[in-house]
Amino acid sequence: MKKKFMALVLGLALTASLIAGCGGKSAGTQSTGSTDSTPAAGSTAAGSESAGSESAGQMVEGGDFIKGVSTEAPGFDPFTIQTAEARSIFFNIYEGLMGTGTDGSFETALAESYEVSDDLQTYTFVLREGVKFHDGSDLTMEDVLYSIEKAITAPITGYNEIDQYMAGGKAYTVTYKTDKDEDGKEIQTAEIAAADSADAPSDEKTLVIHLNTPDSGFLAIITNPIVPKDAKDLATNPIGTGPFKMEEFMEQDHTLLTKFEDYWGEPAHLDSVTLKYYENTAELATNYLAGAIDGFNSNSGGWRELEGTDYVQNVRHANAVQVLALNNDFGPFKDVRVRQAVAYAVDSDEIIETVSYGMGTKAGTPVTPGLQKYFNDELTSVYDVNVEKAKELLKEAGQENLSFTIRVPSNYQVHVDTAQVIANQLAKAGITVDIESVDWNTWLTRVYQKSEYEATVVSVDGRIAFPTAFLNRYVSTASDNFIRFNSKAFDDVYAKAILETDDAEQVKLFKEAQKIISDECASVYLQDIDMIVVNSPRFGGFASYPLYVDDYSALYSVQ
Amino acid sequence: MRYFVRKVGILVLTLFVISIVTFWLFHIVPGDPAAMMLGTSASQEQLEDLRKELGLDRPMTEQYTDWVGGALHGDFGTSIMYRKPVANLLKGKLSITLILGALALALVIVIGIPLGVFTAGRKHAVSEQILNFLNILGISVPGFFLSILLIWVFGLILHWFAPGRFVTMERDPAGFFRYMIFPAIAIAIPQTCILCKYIRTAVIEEVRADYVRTARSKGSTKNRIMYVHVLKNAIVSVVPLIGMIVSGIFSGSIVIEQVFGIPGIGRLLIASVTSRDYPTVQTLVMYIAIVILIVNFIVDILIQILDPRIRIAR
Repeated sequence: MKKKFMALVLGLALTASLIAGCGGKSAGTQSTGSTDSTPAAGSTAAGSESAGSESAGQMVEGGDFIKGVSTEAPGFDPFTIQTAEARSIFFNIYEGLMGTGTDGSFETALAESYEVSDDLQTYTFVLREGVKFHDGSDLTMEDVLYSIEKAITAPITGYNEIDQYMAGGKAYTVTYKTDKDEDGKEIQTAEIAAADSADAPSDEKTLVIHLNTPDSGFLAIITNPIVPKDAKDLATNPIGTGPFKMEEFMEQDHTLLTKFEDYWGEPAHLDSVTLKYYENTAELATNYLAGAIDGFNSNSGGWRELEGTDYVQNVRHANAVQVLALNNDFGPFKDVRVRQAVAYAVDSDEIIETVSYGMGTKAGTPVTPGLQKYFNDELTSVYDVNVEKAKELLKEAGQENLSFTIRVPSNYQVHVDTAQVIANQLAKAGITVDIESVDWNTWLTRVYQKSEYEATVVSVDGRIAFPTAFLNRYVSTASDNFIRFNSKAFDDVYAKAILETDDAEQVKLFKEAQKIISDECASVYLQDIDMIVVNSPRFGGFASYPLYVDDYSALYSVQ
Repeated sequence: MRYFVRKVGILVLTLFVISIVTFWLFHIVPGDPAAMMLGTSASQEQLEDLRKELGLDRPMTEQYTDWVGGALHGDFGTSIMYRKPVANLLKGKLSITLILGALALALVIVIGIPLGVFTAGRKHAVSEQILNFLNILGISVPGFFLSILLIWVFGLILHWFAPGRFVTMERDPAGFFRYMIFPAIAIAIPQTCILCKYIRTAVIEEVRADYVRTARSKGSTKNRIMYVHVLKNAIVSVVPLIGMIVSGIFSGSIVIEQVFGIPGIGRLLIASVTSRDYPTVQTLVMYIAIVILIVNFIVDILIQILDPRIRIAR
C-alpha cells in the first residue's frame, strides 16, 4: 500500500511540476508570431551581409538543407492554423491565386492574369494552366471554388468581404448572418448558395469575385492557399501546388520537405529541407556550432555566439512591432496623460541597444516600418525619452505613485528582457513596475483574449502585407482589440481608409489613423526587431519578404 | 489469491484517482489549446469554432467521462496539438522511450550490482573510498547537468556522436543506438549509484551471517562466497528497489530527452503540457502511472516468490 501511495504521489508530483514549470518552453525565435522584412531601400539595409567569408562559390543544384527551428507548426491545414511558424511553411507548400513578391508587391501565382475594376469591387482572375498538385492531380476551377468556400466559412479574415463569386456559368452568393452562441457572444456565419447565372463567365478558366465593399487590399487576401477539392486531413497531409511538398512530419523532431518535381514555375534548387525542431532558442546556435544544422533564425542575440566562425548573416527587419501594450481599460491608463507619461519615460533607443544589440528599427506606431508606403515615420520620435515631462504629466493626472504590473510571455526571452529594461527606465520617473512572467498559453488566454492585464510586452505581427493587418485591431469593436483602444476619431478615419479607392488618398488616411493612435498614445510602440537569418556558407540564395516566411525555393547549395 | 485480487483492486483505484486529479489539475490552470493553435491573428469567431470542434466547450465532467469511456476501449482521444489520435502519436514515441529506458536499466543492473559487491568486499580500502565518493557525486549531480557534460565531452570534444542530430531507428539503426547510448548513460548514472549503495549495505549485512562463516570454514573462495551465496541473499532485499529505479528512469528520461533532443514520451509530455493538450497529457500520465504501478506490482509478487520467509500467510 505504501508503494502504491508513493506511485500516486510521484505521478501527481510529476504533473504538478510540469504544470508549474511550463514556462520557458517552446522559445521565441518569433515574436508573437511573425516577423519579417521589407527589403528597405534606404533606411535599414536588408539583405545579405556576410560575417566571416563571402559565399563566393558556384551554385549547384541539389543538396539538403537542415534548418533549426524552435517552434513547431501545430498542423498544416491552412484554413485553421494561423501561427506564424505554420504560415512560413505554408509559403513553401501552398500557393494562392496571387502571391507576394520579395518587394511586397502582389504577383500572379495560380492566376495567370487578373483585372481589377475601377471601383475596386470586382476582381477577375484567369486560372493558370498546367498546374499540378503534390498528389499528381491537375488544378481546376473546382479546386479554386472549393478553397474559396472553405476560406469564407473558416472564416479567413478578409474573405467576408466577398458577396458573390462566379465561374463556369454559376454564380455563388454569400449571405452573412450574425448568430449568438450559448454565451451570448456574436458569431458570424456565412451561407453560400449556387445558382445558374447568365452573368457568370462560361469558360472553366475565369473567376469573377465581387466584394460588398471596395478594397484595394484584396489582392493581399487572395494569396490564401488553394487546395485540392475535398482534400482530406490537410492538418496531417497537406497537399498544395508549391515548390516543396511535405514528405514527413515527426512531432517534436522534424518536418521534411522535398522538392516538388512537377512544379509549374521555376523548380526549387535543393532536394530537401529539414526543419529540425529544438525546444529552446538557445540550442540553435549551439547546434549550429556543433554542425547539426545548416542555419537558423535568431532575434534574441543567439547569433552573437557565432562570432569568429564562418557563417552568412542575412538581416531582414521584421514585419512585427514590439509594443509595451497598455490596457486602456485599466484604471490609471484610462487617462491619456498617464499613458503619455509612460511613453515619455520609456527609452526605446536604449531597448534597441541593450535588448536587440542594436538590431532593431524604432517604430512609434503599430504599423511596421517595413511597410514603408504606409508607415508614418513622423511618429517615430514623438515620445522620445523625457523623464521630466513624464513626471509632470503624472503630477497633472494625480498619479505620482503610479505602479502597475507587466505580464509578459516567458517563452519570449526578448520580451522578458525588454520588460526588465522598461522597469528600470520607468523607475526613473517614479513609476513602480512589477514583472510577472506567464507561459505563452496563459498569456494568449488571459492577456490577449480576455485583456486581463495592466501592461504587457509582445510583438504584434501582420498576417498580410497591408496596414489593415496592423490597424484593424484598434477599431473599438474589433474582437482582437486586446489593448481596448477606443477612439471614435480613429474608427471613422480607418473606416474611410479601407473604403478609399484612390491610392494616394488611402495612404494619407492610413497615416492619419496612425497619428490618432500616437496622439491618443494607445500604447508604447518600441521597435521592429531585426530577424537575423544565419546560414552556413555552404548555402546561398537568401530571399527576404515583407512577411514572416522563409523561402526555401530560393536557397541553393554552394560549392 | 485473495491477496492478488486485493492488490489489483488497489491498483485500479490508484489509477482512477490519478486520472481524476490530473484532469482536474489541468483544468484549473489557465490556458486554452485553441488559442495556442490559432496564435494572435485569429478572429474570435475562428476561436469559438475551433473550441467547438475540439469539444472544449462541453462541461468538464462530460469531457472526463468521454475520455475514460474511450480509453477503456483503447481510444485515447485526439491530440489537440497535432490533430491526430493520441494512440497514433504515441506509436512512434513509445518505442524510443522504451528502448532508452531498457538501455538505461540494463546499464544500471550490469554495472550497479558487481560494483556494489566489489565495494562491500573492500571495506576501508582506497579504491572503496574513491568509489564511495563517486557514488555520492553520481547521486547528487542533477541529470541535466550530467547530460550537458556528456554532450560536451563525447559530442563536442571527442565527436563520438553528433549532439542534436537524433536519427530514427528506421532510418539508421546503428546511428540510433550510437546516439541513444549517451542519454542512457546520463539516466543510468544516478540510479546505478543508488543501486550500488544498496547492494553494498545489503552485502555487508549478509557477510555477518552464520552461513558465510560456514562456507568459509568449508574452504570456499572469497569470490565464490560473495557472488554466489551472499549476493543471492542480498539481491532479495534489493528487489523492492527495482520499482523505485524504474520510476527513477522514467522521470529521468523526461528531463534527459529534453536535453538530448530525443522525440520520445518525455518530450511529448512536456510539449503537451505547455500547449494544454489535455487528451495527450492525460494519456501519457496514465501510461507512466500504469508502468510504474505494474512494475511495483510485479516486484511485490517477485519478492514473495524469491523469499519464502516473507510470504504472507492469508
